[in-house]
Parts: sequence; structure tokens; C-alpha cells
Amino acid sequence: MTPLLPAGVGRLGFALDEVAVPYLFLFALIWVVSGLYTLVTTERGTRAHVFAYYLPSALGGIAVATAADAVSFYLCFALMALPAWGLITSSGTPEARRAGAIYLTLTAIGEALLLAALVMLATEAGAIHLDALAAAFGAAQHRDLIALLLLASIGLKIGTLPASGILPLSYTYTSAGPAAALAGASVKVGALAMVRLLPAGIMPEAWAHTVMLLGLATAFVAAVLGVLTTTPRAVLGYSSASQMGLVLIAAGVSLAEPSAVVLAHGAIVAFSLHHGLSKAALVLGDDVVSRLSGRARTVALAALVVPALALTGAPFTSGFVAKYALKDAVHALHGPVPEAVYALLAWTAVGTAALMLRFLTLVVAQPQARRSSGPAPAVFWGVVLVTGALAVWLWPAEWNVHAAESILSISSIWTATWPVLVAVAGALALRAAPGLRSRMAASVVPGDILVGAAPLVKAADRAIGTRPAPASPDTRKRATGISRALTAAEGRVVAWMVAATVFVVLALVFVAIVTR
Amino acid sequence: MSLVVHLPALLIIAPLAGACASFVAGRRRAPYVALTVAAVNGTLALALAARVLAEGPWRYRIGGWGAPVGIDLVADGTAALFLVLSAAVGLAVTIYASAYFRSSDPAAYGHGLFWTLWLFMSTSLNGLFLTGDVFNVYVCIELVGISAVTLVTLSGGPDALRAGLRYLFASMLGAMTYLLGVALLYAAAGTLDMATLRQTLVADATAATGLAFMVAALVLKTALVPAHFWLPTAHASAPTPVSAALSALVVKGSYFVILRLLLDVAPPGYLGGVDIALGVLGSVAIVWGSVQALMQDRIKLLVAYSTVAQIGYLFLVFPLARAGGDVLALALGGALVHVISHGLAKAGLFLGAGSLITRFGHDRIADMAGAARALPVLALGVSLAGVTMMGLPPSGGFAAKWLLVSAALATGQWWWAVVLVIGGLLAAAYMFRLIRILLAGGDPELRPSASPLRTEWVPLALSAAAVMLVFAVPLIVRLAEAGTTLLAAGVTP
Amino acid sequence: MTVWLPVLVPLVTGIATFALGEGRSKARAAVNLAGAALASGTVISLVVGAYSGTVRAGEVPLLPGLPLTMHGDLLGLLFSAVATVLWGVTLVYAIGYMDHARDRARFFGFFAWCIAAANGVALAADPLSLFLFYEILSLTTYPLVVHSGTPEALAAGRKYLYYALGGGAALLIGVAWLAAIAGPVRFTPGGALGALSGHETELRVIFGLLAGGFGVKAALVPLHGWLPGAMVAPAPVSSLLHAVAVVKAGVFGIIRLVNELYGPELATSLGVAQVLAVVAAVGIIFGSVVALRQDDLKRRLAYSTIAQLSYITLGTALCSPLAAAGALAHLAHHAVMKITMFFTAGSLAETLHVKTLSGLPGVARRMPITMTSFAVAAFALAGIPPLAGFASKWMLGAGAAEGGSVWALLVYVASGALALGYMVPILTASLREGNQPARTGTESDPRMLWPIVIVAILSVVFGVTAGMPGSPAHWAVTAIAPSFGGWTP
Repeated sequence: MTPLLPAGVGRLGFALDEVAVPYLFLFALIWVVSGLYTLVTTERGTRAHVFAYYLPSALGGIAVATAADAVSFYLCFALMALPAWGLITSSGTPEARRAGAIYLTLTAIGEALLLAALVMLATEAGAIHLDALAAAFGAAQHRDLIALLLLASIGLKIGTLPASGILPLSYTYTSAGPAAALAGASVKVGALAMVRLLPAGIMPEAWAHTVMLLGLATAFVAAVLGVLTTTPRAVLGYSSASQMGLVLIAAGVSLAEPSAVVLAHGAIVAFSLHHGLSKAALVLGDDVVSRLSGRARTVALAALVVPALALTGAPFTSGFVAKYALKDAVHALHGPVPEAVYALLAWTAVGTAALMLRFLTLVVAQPQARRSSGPAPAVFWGVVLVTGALAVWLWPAEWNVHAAESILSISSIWTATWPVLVAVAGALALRAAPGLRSRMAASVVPGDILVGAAPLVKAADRAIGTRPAPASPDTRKRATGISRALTAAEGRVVAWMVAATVFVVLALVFVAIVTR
Repeated sequence: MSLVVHLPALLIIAPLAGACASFVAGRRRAPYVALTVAAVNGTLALALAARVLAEGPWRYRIGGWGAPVGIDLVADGTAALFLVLSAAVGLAVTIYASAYFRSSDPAAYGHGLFWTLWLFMSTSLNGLFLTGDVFNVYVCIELVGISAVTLVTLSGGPDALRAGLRYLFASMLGAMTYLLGVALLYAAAGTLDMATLRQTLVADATAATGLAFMVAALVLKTALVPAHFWLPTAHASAPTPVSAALSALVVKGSYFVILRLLLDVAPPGYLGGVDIALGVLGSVAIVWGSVQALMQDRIKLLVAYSTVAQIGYLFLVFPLARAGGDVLALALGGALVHVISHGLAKAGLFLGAGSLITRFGHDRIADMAGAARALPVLALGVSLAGVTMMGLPPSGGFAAKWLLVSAALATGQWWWAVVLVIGGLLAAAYMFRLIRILLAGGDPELRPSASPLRTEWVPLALSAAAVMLVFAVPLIVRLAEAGTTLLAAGVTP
Repeated sequence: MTVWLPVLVPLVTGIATFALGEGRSKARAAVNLAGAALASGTVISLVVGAYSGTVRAGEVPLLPGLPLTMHGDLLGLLFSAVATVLWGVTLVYAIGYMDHARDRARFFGFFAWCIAAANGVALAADPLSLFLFYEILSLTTYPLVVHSGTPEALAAGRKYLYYALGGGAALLIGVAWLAAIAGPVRFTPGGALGALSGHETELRVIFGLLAGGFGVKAALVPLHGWLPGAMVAPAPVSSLLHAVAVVKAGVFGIIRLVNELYGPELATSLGVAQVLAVVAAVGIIFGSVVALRQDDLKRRLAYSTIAQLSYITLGTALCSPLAAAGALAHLAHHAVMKITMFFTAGSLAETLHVKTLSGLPGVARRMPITMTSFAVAAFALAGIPPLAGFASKWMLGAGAAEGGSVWALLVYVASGALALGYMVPILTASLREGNQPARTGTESDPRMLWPIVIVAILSVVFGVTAGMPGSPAHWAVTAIAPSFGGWTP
């Protein structure tokens, strides 16, 4: 029997465990620092407006790390995701509003799927605590359906194909501070859900393979879309989708093979930390660069290269650690599919490198627009940068051990470096073909097919629209015709001779019936 | 206690005396006489009902002669119910008429002859309800008819005269046919007394034909479709108090006789398929009357056609009566409750409509918008009457509908139930057409002409009584049980 | 005697209101508020009695063999409490809203009579008595729907009547037929028709008639057509009657029908519950989707109501204990959430003459408290924890999953997403920049403002305290449990 909700909010469960700690660290850092960044970079007048949305989002976004039961998880999830709409649309432009609408729609769908899965699990488990849910997953009657719902919900959150466009849409029109929070923390809740909620080691192998392939595909396709898109923030959005595709691979690993679960979860956590901090650094850095000029700008640009490299998994960066953890996890599986994935992993780095190159070129090309806002933004950015560079290496965990060991081996350095070189080579080659370049560049609108689907939605809208049909003159004419006919009929019945005749007939009919 | 035994005779003597007295008293004092007589009549009727409840029915031999030589009066539960209804409506109509006629041109209303004629009609009605002899029925019906016709033509206007003439024609036609039937019956059975007939009636073509003619004649007098041609104009053109009495009481008189003949005198199934024919005609009446009512622009015609429709309900009891026993009890209970609630509500509706006409100065429904704001008591009275017509709770009309529907479903003849329900919906259609206009916005500065208060409160009182009747159903059923043999199988109160 | 008071007190209040006439507004207000307070008090005393095991009952002879019966059981008292307490709140609002309107005596008089009828429906102990009050409710609400007297109002009233009286006709036949084959029955937890076997087809048809009759007021698609049009009535009418009393009478009838007349077992074995569930599910999706398209605020809320009422019907039709309890809890939760929204719509219309989505920009700045309350109710409706709507939705969804009807769970969550879809645009539009008339003093008439805040707070309180004794959710569980033979969550 499913328990009633815990009586009163005070009984909602929040707890710190080994999964919660890294996420709590990540979310808290990102939301707080991004919040401070927002504080110093927004004008006085709009501050209240922005923070009215930012604070609830931050609250949900930080608390979700410690949510220990289904209700509190859902609550924090919703609390974080819904006010984010306000952050996305705060600029008020039509594109921003459209992005907000799409975001909200997909978020609502994702939340619905999540809720369905949670309710079903809670029913099976007879409890709402997340541990109990995980334990009951194996014997659940609708195990496959629940798993599907969870994957769909997580996929919408992290920008899996074909919904990759949701991430660039969320970041492009938002101002830098909130965008950093969304990119660095909000998306990682999907990763947290992977660790907390997905069934570990109990699904059939086919599931694992499908998910891994989907993640791989996302990694590649999103990279292509990102290289072709218009603004730095959009590139970062597609980059996030691509990177989260890699995380999805790790999630796939955890689905089928019990012995690989620990490795897979470790990879997910590692990636979350690495990517969250690096991406936030990139988002903030882009904004910082645009506020600087002269020598300071050059320094900032140089510093920006660090998290970019980290994303590609270059040696000595946090990405190196994360990639190693992921490779270890994939390596724990055997069979043609995992091996193919393993082989292609390295090539995803080429895509990432290309994305980063595109990003940097766009940043460089940006005009140095606004007036300087003092040292504060750069300082906050610096905090994120440094933490990102160091945290993953220094975190006491299993998943950075292997990376630490291999850090100085030539083969690993080469494995981490050649994708970057390939990307650079490709970029140089493109320089030589300006026509091709100009046609390719900016050919993808942030949001790609999601935005393209808008006319379809509008058409469906119109089809549903209920407008009362005006009373057609035909029906009115018919009505008066009927009433006239009836009145005429009555008139005839009531006429003397007719009436008398009718009566006599009636009497005779009675007699006939009686004497039959 | 011996006086109580004479109640039937008193019920005839009192209004008759009143009629003479009011003629003598003249136009000014006649209303007071009528009021007194109405009060006395009411008391007598209640007393009779009480006695029937306490001690059961009894026969009263006029002049001590007894049947077959003399004329017997029968005081049983059904008669008591009709008498009480007649008294109640009569009282209300009297109170209303005292205001109505005072405010209008005396020459236009026969110089005060109304009271005399009215009391005369009361006498005849009482006699009709109490009679125990089929020829006496003819006499009373004729008397009722003549006084009713005269009352209809009281205003002297061309419409009223035409309507009255049509009514007279129908009345004569009916009377002739009835007499023919009585003659045949007497030839076959050798007696005119109802009780004796019940005991001695055998399957015989002549007797059956006679009964058939009688029923046909009564059907004409009760204005069952298609023999309803005289009613709408007659009820609509008459002065308002007369319309009320006609719809509420006069048509019920002939119906009373049909009840007696088919359910009491004749053995069950004596008239073959006639009861089903009556049911079918009743169904047609319900639909036809309602549809016609829906199309009327003038308020009194709407109410008159409503009567045509509501009369149809009364005839549904006959096909259901075949089943006998409990079902008969239910069906008859339903019919009787309907008679009383419709009587009260229709009187209220007609009186209310008449007041609206007086206050507005015209009878066009569409131009009565906003009446609810200016004349709330009247609007409420009309609306409550409508509730009974529609058969919606809480009203006597609902109780009647329930009982008839239950009877229909109990016998498996579910189609009558469908007809009843459709009738309710159609009634709602035409009543709400009226109510809707009353509630509509209308002219905010509407100031209808003044009128004595009782022209507003009497309709409300009648309609409210019809609504409250739902709580009196057990009492009605008990009274009906105390009928002669109609409810022999018994009904749980 | 106490069991009659929830009906008699509002009845007398109404009569007194009519008698006072149009002029004396202060006296009229005092009488009505006193009546509401007194009626609420009697309901509470009945509740206290019922919780401690004393179910008050009473009967009055009416038709042969079929008296008018009432009983104060927990199931009925939940509905009664909702209607009566919210009557009091709505009175305050209505007094403010109708300040410049006409025919106020008529309005408040019939308003009180509607509550009397609703309480009658709630506390009726047998199908006939319930039917009686149900029909009276149709009659007493009509003058309120057509109150403004405009052609649109009259047309809406006519449509309302067609539907309501049509439904009543179906109910009449159903109840009479049932009485014919089963004799006098009373509502009994778990069903009262156990002794009938061999009448399967008849019972199915009767169920259809009864469900159809109740379904009109419960806005079961396709019997919902009257509801959007009825929104032309003044906001207090839309709020209390069309969000609380009238529509809830319909779903309440369905709850009694499935749980205490037929009983969950019989309903399932006859197959009628499953059909009802599918019809309700269609209504949920239909209402939610059509709501997305409405520009007029009240119509949007009307379609939302259609969907939310079908939540209750679906939960009841699933015949699973937790879902049935969730349905009953949602009756109360939805009432407070929806009434907040209708109050807001009315306040916007009266204060700023804003009636559509396109007219909303600037409203949030101009009427912040009102819109915040609306936002709370909107998120509650969409099922965001820890608000009221989440609690009942959880019970409904979990009950569905428990009973093996996962499809119903998916319908519920989909509808929650759609609810966000039609609620959020109202909030986002109001937050945009726009021209609204300047503010003088409080953002709106305080008599309209305070009720909105109060019911919005209730949306929060009911959700946060769900599960604790005294909360509607806990109350619903206690009331439903007997119908499922000793079930405990």
C-alpha cells in the first residue's frame, strides 16, 4: 500500500550521503557564485525582478542534491525548473519569450513523466524514500515502463536527441549569471537523477546498449549543430548537450551490468563536477571578456582557454579525469557495442574541440561592448575557474585515482591531445575556404527543430480552438417554419366542423373498441 | 354528530343558498356573501374529509328515499379530495375576484352577476363530486356547463362571446352524447345508481356501448386532445378568476366522473382497449399541448395550452390501472395528487397571469421583461406554479410524476415513464420561456400600475400550497384509500 | 434535528433576505453572514459528532414508502463543510463585488437557497432525497445564472436548463426504476444493492442513467456544454456555484453512486465503472487541451474545471481505495484552488475591467497580492508539492497505480503538465509590461481582496497538512475507508 504523503512538510526527507555531497558542493557553489555575479551585473531596477525568479530556483537547485524521498525530489525539481522560465525570458524580446515557452513546455512534460515514474515506484515500494524505491525497482511490475519514463524525463532535462535544442534555448537569451547557473547546475540535476533513480544493473543488456548509442549519437550530432550555430552562448548550449550525451553513455553502462554500476556512477559524478564547473566558467568568462578591454581582455581570453581545454579532455585538466572515469566505466562492459562506443569516445573529443574553437572565435569576434563593471565579475569568475581546475583532481573519490596514475604517461597524454590537434587542423583548413565557411556558419538557429516545430504547434492550436459557431440563418428559418406549421395545424384542428367531426369519430372509435 | 352525516347535503345547499343571497344582496355586497359562503364551504369540505378519514365512506340518501327511487350521494375519499380542492381554489378565487371586479368597469362584467353564477357553479361542482347516480351526473355537468359558459362570456367582448359559443357547442355535444350513453346503459342494466351498477354490470354490448359514449362525452368535456378545441380560447378569453376556476376545477369535474366510471363502476377491463387509447391520447395531449404552449405570444393562451398538456397526465392512469393492486394504488395516487397540485398551481398561474395583464395593461409575454424586479411577489408566484407544472421537486407535481413513473416502471410499461419525463421537460420549456422574460433586464424605470395587494399574494399562496403539497402526499394517499373499492389492495402510507 | 440545520439555516436566511427587500443592504449582509456562520457551526458540530462515531440522522415522511432522509456521515459532511464554509467566504466577496449591481436581494436570497440545496444533496441518505435536493439546486441556481438579464445571460441560462433538467429527467427515471426493482434503499458504505442478482442489464442501464444525470452537473464530457456558457454569471456565482456547489454536487452524486449505492465491487463486476473511467479520462484530456486555447479568463477556468472534475470522476471510477479517497479529497482541494482563481478573475473584471488573457499585461504590478494568490492556486492546481493539488493528485495517481490502472496515472500526470500549460500563460501575461489604470489606495476592494488571500492560504494549508487529522485528505480517507471494508493506507 502506498503511504499517504508524510503528514506535514516537516517530514519530507532530506539527507546527506556520499552521492549528495559532491552535488551539494557543485550546486551550492554554482548557484551562489552565479547569484553574486548576477547581483553585480544587473541594473538596480531589474534586480528585484530577476532575483524573484533566481532565489526560488536556487533554493530548489541546491536542495535537490539532498532530497532523500520521491516527494522532496519532485518538489525541488519543480522549484528549480519552473522559475527558471522567468530567468530565460527576462530580456523580454520575442525570441526570449519563444524560448521560454518551449522551455516551459518541455519542462512540464519532463516533470509529468518524472512524477508518473515516481508514483509508480512508490506504489511498488510501499514507501517514498529513494532507497526503498531503488530497491523495489527490480521486482516492479511495470519495470520497463518506469525505466522508460525516467529516461525520457532525464533526456528532456539534459538535451538528449532530438531535444538537444532545449539547452541552447535556455542559455542564449538569458543574462550571464543565471545562464551560468542553468548551464552549470540545473542541467546536472539530470545527472543526479541518473544516479539516484535509474535502475542499477537490473535491466536487459539491450537497454544498456540503446542508451549508450543514444548518448554517443547525441554527443556527435549536438557537436555538429553547435559548430554551425550563431552565438557563443548557443555553442555552449550545444556543447552541454553533447557532453551530457557522454554522461548518458555512463548511465547506459549502469543499467545492465551490476559490477559496472559503481564505476558508472563514479563517472557520472565526476563528469557532473567537471562539466558543471567548466561550463559555468565558460559562460561567465564569455561575459567577462565582453566587459574588458585592452590587456585585461587578452588575459581573460587566455584564461578562457583553460575550461575550454578542460571540456575537450586535454591533459592536466578536469576533463581528463572525467574522461578517464568514463572510459573505465565503458571498458567494464564487454561485447561489440561497448567496444565500438569505447573506440568512438575519443572522436567525440574532436567534436568538443571543434565546438570550443568555434566558441573562442565567436568570443574573440565579439565587440567589446559595455562599460566596465569593476573587478567583481572577474573575481567571481576566477573563483569558478580555479575551483573547476582543481576540484575534480582533489576530490577524495575513487574515480580520479586512475586518472591521477596515468597523468604523466605519454600514451594518455597523446590520447587526450590528438583530438584537439585534429580540430585545429580542421579549423585551419576551413580558413582556406571562406565560401564554405560563410555558408556553414550561423546556419543553425539555437533550438533547431524545436523552434522549427512551432508552426506545427500553432496549426494544432487553431484546430483545437473553440469559437462558438454563429447561428446560421438557415436554422433560424427552419425554426420559424416549423412553428408556423404547427400553429396552422392547431388552427385546423380547432375549427368547428373539424372538431365536431373528430369528436364523433372518437366516440365511434371507443364504441368499436368496446364491442369488438 | 348527526349533522356531520348531512354534510353532503349541506355542501350542496350552502353554495346554492349563497347564490340566491348574493343575487339579492346586489353588486356591492355580493362579494361579502361569496366570501362567507366560501369559508363555510371550506369548513364543510374539511369536515367531510375528516369524517371520511376517521370513519370511512358513507352513502347519503336524499330525503331518505334511497336508490333506486331516490338519489344517493356518496361521500368517500376521492370525493373528499375533490371537494377540498374545490373549496380551496374557490376561496382563493373569491378573494382575488373581490379585488379584480372592483377595479374594473362594472358594466363590463355583467353588473355583479359573477358572484351568483360563480356560486351556482360551485353548487353544481359539489353536487358532481358527491353524486352516486349516473343521470345525476348529467344534470350536474349540464349545470356546471351552463354556468361556466355564461361566466366565460361575462365580459361581453367579441372574443369572449366567440369563445363562449364554442364552449357551448362543445358542452351541448358532450351532453347529448352522454345522455345517449346513459340511455343505452339504462336500457341494458336497468339502474342508474353507481353502486348497483358495479354489482350488476355484466359483459353486454349495449351497456358497453353506452359506457363508451359516456366516456367519449366526458373526454370531450375534459378537453383531451383531439377534443380540446374549445378550451384554449374559452379559458383565455374569460375573466381571470373564471379562467382559474375553469382550468382548476371544471375540467376536473368530468375527469372525476371518468375515474368513477372506469375504476369504480365498470369491472376491470370492461371497456377493452379504451384505457390504452386514453393513455395514448393523454400522451399526445402532453406533447401537443406543450408544443402549442411554447409558441404562444399571449400569456393566457400559454397557460390555457398548459392545461391541455397537463390534462394528458391524468389519462395515463388508465392503462396503468389494468395491473391492479399496488400499481393501481400508485397510479391513482399519482393522478389524485396531480389533480390537486395542478388545480392549485393552475389557479395560481392564471390568477398571476391575470394580475400581470392588469398591471402591464397588455397580455404580450415578450413585453413583460423586467417584471421580476418590479413585481417580485407575482413573479415568484408564477415561478412556483411553474415548478409544479414541470414536476420538479419540491412540489406536488413532482410527487404526482414520481408516483405515475413508479407505477409505469413497476408494470414494465416504461414508455409511459418516458412520456411523463418528456412532458416535464416540455413544460419546463414553456414555463421557463415565461420566467426567463420575467427575469430579463427590461426597463429599469418600469412602474406597473397599482393593484390591491391580494392580487399578488393570492397567486403566491396558491402556488406555494401546490409546492408544499409534496409533504401532504401521505395524507392524500390515506384519504384516497378511504375510497370505496378503488384502492382495495392498500398502499403503504 | 441537528442534521436538518445545514439545510434549514440557509433556507431561512434566504427567506429573510427576500423579506428584507432590496433596500436594507446592511441588514441583509448581517443576516447572511450570521446565517453562514451559524450553518458552518452546525456542520462542524455534526463533523465532530461523526468523527466520534455518532452519525446524526433524521427522516420526514414524503412519498409512500420513501421518506425524506438525511444523515450526517463523514462523506457527506466533507462536501457540506466545503459548501457552507466557502459560502461564508464568498459572501464577503460578493458583498464587495455586487456593490454596484442591481437586484441584490434576489441574488443573495437565491444564493442562500442554493447552499441549502447543496447541503441537502450532501446529507441526503437515500437516492430519492438526494435527487430531490439535486433538482432544487438546478432551480435555485437558474436565477443566479441569468442575474444580469442580458441576452447572453438569458441564453446561457436556457442552455443550463436544458442540460440540468435533461440530467434531472435521466435521474428521475433511474431513481424510480431502482426503487421499483430494489425497493427503498439507503446509501451504505460498500454498496446497498447486494441482494439483487439476475437484474444485471437493468442495473447497467440504471447506472448509465444515474451517472448521466449526475454527469451533467459534474461536467462529464460530452455533457459539459452548459458550463463555459454559464460563466456569464457574476463572479461570485461562477466561483461558489460553478466551482464549488453545483459542479461538486454532480461529482458528489457520482461518489455516492459508485461507493455507497452500487459499491465498488458491484460497479466493477458490472463493467460500468470501467466505462465511466474512460469517459472521465477523455474529459480530463479534452478539458485541459481546450483550456489552452481560451482567451477569456473565465472560460479558461471553466474548461480547467471540466478537466479537474473528471479527475474526481476518474478516481472514483477506478474503484481503488486510495484513488477514491483522493477523489474525495480533491473535491475539497479543487474547491479552494478554483475558487481563488474565480475570485481573482472577478476581481480583475470589476477593478480593472480585464476579462481576457490579452488584457492582462501590467496586472501583476497593479494587483500584486491578488496575482500572487492566483499564482499559488495555479501551482497548486498543477500539482506542485507541497500544495493541496499535489496531495490529492498523488493519492489519485498512487491509487490508480495500486489498482493496476497505470494508464490513469499517465492521464493524471499528462493533465498536470497541461495544467501548467494553461495556467502559466496567465501568470506570464500578467507579469508583462502593460497599461493599467493607476492605483488609489488598496489594490482592490478589501472585501474582494481578503477572501482571495484566505482561500489561497487554504490551498497551501490543505497541502502542507495533508495526512494530518483534520485535513481534507485525512478526512477523505476516513470517510472512504468503510466502503472498502476496513482498508487503511
